[in-house]
Amino acid sequence: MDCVSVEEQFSAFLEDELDYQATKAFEAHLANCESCQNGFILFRESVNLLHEMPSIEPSPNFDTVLQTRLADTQIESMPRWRLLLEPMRSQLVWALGGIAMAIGICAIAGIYLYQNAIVGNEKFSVARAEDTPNDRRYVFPPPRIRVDGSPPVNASPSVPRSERQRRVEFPTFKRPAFPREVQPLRVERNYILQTVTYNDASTTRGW
Amino acid sequence: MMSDLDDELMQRCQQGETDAFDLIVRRNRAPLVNFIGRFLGDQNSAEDLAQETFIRMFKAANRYRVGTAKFSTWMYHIASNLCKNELRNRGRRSHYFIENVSSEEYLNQDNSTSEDLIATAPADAAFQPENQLVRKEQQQAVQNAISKLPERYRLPLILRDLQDRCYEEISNILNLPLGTTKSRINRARLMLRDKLKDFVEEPWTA
Repeated sequence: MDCVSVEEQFSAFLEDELDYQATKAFEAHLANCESCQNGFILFRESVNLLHEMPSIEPSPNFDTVLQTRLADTQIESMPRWRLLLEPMRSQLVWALGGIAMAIGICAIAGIYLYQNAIVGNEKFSVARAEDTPNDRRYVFPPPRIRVDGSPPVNASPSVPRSERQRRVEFPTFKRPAFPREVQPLRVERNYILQTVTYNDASTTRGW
Repeated sequence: MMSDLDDELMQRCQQGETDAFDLIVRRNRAPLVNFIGRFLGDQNSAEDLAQETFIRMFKAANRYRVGTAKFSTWMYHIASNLCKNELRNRGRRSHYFIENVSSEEYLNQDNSTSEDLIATAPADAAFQPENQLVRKEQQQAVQNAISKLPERYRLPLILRDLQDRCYEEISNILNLPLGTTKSRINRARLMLRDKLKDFVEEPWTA
């Protein structure tokens, strides 16, 4: 065994990886070669110095900086449209929440009004022909037939259904006489519709 | 055992648990900073590259397959590539020298003067100010010697003697055959021995 091959086995001998025969040959060479002996001792001491090197500890703000960099990385990896929305994400959530709440309130109020005002009281909203006699009045919308067979509140019971329908579709009352000073040059229609709204209290005596 | 836990944490991370990745960072930041710091000889760059390593691991977490390789192998492989790139970039910039002043300041991290050492020295002989100064000088010499090793010898040497990795893992990290890895480590130790001749206490002269 020559000095070069012994040097190549320094690590293996130091870490006890040589087999029995190789170990014996190595030790025999070292016993007879002072240069290799000194070289191996220096080798072992150098490795010991390496093992004695202290560990480098990360600085206290290592985690904080890493968290910031990770957050930046996550933002960078976002799609462009999400990147644009990101700064106002919190405001957007609040705005959408507010809109959803407003829609909910409107829906609840609408359901309440529909059930308590429109369906339950057909006299709530009517149209009236100005200056027409009572038997020429018509109701808009046309009165509905109630389920129990009783006549609608705002329908004339003496007039047959077919007659009522005809009157509703083709009102034939006379054109009102306007005063001369306010008479229009050309009358487009011969009746005026007026929307009258009542509350429950005002409908007790009819209209 | 450590890698098993790291694998489990990576699986949790793949399932969206960000706390699992925080735990991975806490478990591995010290060895990683030590590895990169010893390789580059510069703590600021070491922390920067260690963070970059964790960021790359976080980005590639979904591609990590448990069982194909050890977690530490994967981590050191990424860190090694980053270290090589950093050295090449420094070579291109050509105004950065490893054995510069900052590297020496970095070795004396506590920046303690001899007066400080005397003031805080315990009674034990091993902690006498003179011995501590000698030890610091030795450590600085070792770091300089490591920094002067060629890159292909430096990486396996640090992984073996400072990070306590086994030969098989080092060969996997560096994508080298096992025999080549062993011979490079032996060669690196021989080169280090030649550089540290003046600082090693010769037993036969003591």
